[in-house]
Amino acid sequence: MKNRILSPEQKKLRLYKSLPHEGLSGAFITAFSFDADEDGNRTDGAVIITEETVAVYENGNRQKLFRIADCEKFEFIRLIGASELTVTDGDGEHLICRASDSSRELLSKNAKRLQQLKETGAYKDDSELRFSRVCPKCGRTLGTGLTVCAKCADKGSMIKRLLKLASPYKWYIIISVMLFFAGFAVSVAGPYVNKLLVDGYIDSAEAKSAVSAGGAAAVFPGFILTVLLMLALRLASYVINALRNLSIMQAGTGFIVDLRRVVFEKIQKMSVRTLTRRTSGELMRRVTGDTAQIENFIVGQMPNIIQQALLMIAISVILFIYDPFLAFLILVPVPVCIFAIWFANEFFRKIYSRQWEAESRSGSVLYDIFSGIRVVKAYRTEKKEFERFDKAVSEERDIAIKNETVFNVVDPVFTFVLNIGSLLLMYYTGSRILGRTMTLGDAAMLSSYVALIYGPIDWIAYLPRLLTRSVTSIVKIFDVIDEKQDVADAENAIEKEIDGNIEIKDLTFGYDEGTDVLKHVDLKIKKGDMVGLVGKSGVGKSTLINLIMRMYDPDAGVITVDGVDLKEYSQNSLRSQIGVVLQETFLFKGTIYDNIAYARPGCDKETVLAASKAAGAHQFIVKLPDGYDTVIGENGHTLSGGERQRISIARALLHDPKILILDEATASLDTETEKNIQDTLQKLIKDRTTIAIAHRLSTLRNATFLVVLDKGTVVEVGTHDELMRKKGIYFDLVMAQRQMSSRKEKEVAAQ
Amino acid sequence: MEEKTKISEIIKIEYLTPSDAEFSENGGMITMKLTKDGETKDVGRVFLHRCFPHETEDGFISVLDRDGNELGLIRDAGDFGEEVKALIERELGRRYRVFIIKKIKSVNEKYGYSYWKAEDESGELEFTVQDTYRSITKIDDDRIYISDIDGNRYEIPSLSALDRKSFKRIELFL
Repeated sequence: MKNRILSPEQKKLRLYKSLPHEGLSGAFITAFSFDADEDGNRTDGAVIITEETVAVYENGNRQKLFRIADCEKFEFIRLIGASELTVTDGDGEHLICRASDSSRELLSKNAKRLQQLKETGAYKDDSELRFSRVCPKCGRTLGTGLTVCAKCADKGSMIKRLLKLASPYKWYIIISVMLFFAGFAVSVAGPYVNKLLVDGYIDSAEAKSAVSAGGAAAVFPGFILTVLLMLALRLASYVINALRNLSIMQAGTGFIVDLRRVVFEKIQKMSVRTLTRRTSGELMRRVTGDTAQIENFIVGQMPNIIQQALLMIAISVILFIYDPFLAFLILVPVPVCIFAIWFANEFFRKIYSRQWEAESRSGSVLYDIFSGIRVVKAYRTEKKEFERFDKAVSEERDIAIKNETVFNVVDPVFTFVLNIGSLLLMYYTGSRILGRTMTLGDAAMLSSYVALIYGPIDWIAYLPRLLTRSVTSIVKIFDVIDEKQDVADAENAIEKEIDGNIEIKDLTFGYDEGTDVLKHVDLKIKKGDMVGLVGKSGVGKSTLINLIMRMYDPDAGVITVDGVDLKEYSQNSLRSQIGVVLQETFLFKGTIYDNIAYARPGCDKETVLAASKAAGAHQFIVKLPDGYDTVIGENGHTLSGGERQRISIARALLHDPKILILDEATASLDTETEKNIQDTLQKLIKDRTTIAIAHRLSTLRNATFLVVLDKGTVVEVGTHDELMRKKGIYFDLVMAQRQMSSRKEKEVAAQ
Repeated sequence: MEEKTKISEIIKIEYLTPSDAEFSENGGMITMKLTKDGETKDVGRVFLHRCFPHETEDGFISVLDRDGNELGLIRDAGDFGEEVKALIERELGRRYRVFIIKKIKSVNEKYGYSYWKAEDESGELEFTVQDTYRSITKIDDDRIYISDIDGNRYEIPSLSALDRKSFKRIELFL
């Protein structure tokens, strides 16, 4: 059954072969299926793309045929819960197909492929989908960020790899295994010594007659010895357990730290595209939650699994040797018990997780109301909020009552059923003792062994869930560790000082399937140029900057710095020469000084002061009671938006970059401060290539040239004066801003 | 505060009426001719977006052109007569693809995901949901939406109308 799942190529071919081919011309390129007809109803549809034609089928019959040469434009359009592929030709726009959201990427890819085919007569086949959503082995839908589903992952090899990671701690593990064998021997020996004690001294006719003949002294040494032996066993068990726990803890804590390091390092190396595909909460869970789960598995569960299994086997063997019928009596209910407990566990887990969700819901309602308490008071909505809270807690109460009722009815029944086994055992051993075929010592030993067997049953029943959880964590962790770096350094990546000549050639890029944020952008920036990027919100200005910093790789086209493709530089070397100030400043928890010096750890205080002064931050910092030592960030001193931005500028200046990027870097500042900083910047950026984005166009007046973007393409390039004369988009933007500011001035004057 | 002015008097919402907007359908797409200041213009394909997708399905529909500019709002599709209303509804049905679940055959939780088998009027549905509790949106006490891992949407218009077995299967996630 291994080949049950077809490869994507096989699927395409099979689909192609199953459909009629008349009207098609040119070599076959691809075929895919879709599931919605023109009216959005479910259908069994397919599209075949050849070098010259696109054919659309529904239920095996051809519905439409387009000649690529007659087509003008292929487009991907995203709907809600669906998307579509359309084509425009001389007769207008036509629908090629519509499909559910599961095929979103497929449609978008084929829209691009068709457009390429139309424009160049060829297409670039990168058949691997960027966000493959189906497990290549079983066809199940994959979770976000996973490349293989947990069910199909090669668990054996993963566990091997994990053990390899644990190899520095092998001595601790070996010691704990040895200790566990010792502990195992002690647990099995305990009941036997107990039997010796009972049968040899407490309930022994020989001992009794020896005592009546020669007094207690006759049997006393032997009796004391046995008691001491029991004491020694107990003691040994404690010591062994303590030592074992200690060595497991040593191995576990070391291992988890190592694993977290590996995962963290890997996450830091991921591209921004990969990172934005995973939420920060998810990444946190990988680094903390999943690693802890794996540690628990490797050092907690695995030794336990082995220990409990060995214990069960050993005791079963002893019981069989001793009394096969009894062994049978004891062992037969074991699987039943395991199943019963497993079933109960699953059931209770489900009903309690519902309760847990309700609790967290009412908790978040409470949090929501309290954090917005000022708004609640201002709009006098206390009553409404009370009702909202009341509804949430009532729901929680109802679920809790229901769960408790179920638990209190079901649980005693389970306990009762499980206890029937021990009653049967008591009856059997009791009747044999009465019939003189079994000694009291044997009975005591047997009941101890039974307790040892039944003890782990509860634990074994819980095992499937523990294993599932651990395996899920292991798969998720390896998914992070094995993630292919999509923005990776080339082999022999270049590390060199750059001059700052940037050239962008035919650049196309989109974050998401189907929507190109930048389209065919060409741009040349010389060393020392100050370039202003202008345009409405969402036209792709910040995206262009992200690409220059190589946060992403372009979908098409190249960016070169000093004539060398960005992809050939080592990312470390490249970014160390680019300084950025973003509108959203991020300051870490620490002192202001640390935050500025973040860009150049270890530099001297004077340089930091100079950078801070240039950024206009110095004045406000010295007024703070703790000056540069003021702690900011979480629970620290609160800074205003403008203050944060100035610290961020200081950080970038200290970095002394060859390319300086200012993305709305002075947006949160008042006009005067902004002007001061601009003046200083002007001096500082003299030999540096600077790319600046600003909505306040007056700040870009000194730019060498301005680049106006609209809907992802460059529409105007020139100096301020040139563009004003051109009376295009830039002119409109400037005029709109002037009108606004003159209106404001008039208002101020009127007041 | 006699001079209190209503915001809706200052900001005028532009509603489309049968006299200025003419809708027609072409190969599974909706197109519009718009008459403004006595001049009729063929806008070509338009896109209909519900302002309140959960509450008002046939009202407050924003009509956008290809570039995403709003051409006007449809206050109530019924204003345009039965035929056009049907056309608008068809287009909305295409844009908002929601599978209406009639029956839930199984919900299996495994490895952090839940795998669903359900039925809508045209047959069987199979889908995968991540973080099940958070992927179920309660519109009201009886009506829910489920979003699957790919972004597809499924609706249960009335939980109380589900058969008992189906309800039992979903109850734990509500």
